[in-house]
Amino acid sequence: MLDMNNMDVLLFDNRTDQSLMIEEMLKQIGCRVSLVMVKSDCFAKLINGRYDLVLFDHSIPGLDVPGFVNKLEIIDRSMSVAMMVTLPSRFYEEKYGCSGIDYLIFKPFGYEDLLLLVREAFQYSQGVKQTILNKWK
Amino acid sequence: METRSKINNQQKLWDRPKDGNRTAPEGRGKSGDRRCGADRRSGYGKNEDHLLRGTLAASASIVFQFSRPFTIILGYVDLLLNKSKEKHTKNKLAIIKEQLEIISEILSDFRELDDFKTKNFDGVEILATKNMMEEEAPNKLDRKLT
Repeated sequence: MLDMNNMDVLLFDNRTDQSLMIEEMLKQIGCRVSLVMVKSDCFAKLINGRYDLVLFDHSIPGLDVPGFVNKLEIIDRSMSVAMMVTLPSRFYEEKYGCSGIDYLIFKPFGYEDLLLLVREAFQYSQGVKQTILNKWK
Repeated sequence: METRSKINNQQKLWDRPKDGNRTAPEGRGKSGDRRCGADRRSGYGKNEDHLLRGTLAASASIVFQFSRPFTIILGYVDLLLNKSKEKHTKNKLAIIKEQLEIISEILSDFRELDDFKTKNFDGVEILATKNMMEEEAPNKLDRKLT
């Protein structure tokens, strides 16, 4: 059984109504949540602290997704990256198949879907961390 | 002379065979057929391509516009369900959640649409999705009218 109380999630969303709801759900799951609404704040948070999961919305206006994800990978490779999406899956497979996005979560989603995502992201993040530690030994 | 040749040409156009034999003697392929070589069977032509493209654009637009409000509603229903202790309220929230999940499935069907199929609903052609095909079975919550 995973203990999600240690999980740090960075939520990046420019819509207050949606982000507040997701923040509340993540807190109920047991995560520590940091909510940011601007890209520069997102990078500032990532540089100052470590996160297990970054969850961001695809529909943020003007967001260059591949560039944003590349920067995330440069900052921390072991961190899981999840994108909230709405369009058909084939669109994302074609456009972002080779980018560093680990998970897509399709809207509309509820508590169970988010819980599943957090669990998988946590497992992934722990696995990558372990691999990096083993390499250093 | 010029006038006469024009009249002759016009007469040639009007002089069509009356008994239905309008095919060119050497066949259409050789005599500059206006039709392109594309397969014109139903589902293979240009019109079907346009219909499918239009349908895909419309369905993607529906999914795009509806997804965010439904995420917020579904999320808050879940949060209320987790917090609520009153049985009566919980039951009603569970019904709302069930209906939201149906909408979510419909949106998912629209999202993964890759074919143009219609279904006749009382004389109106409506887009046939996977969910609609499976909908034939009666809902157990439907009231009996007899």
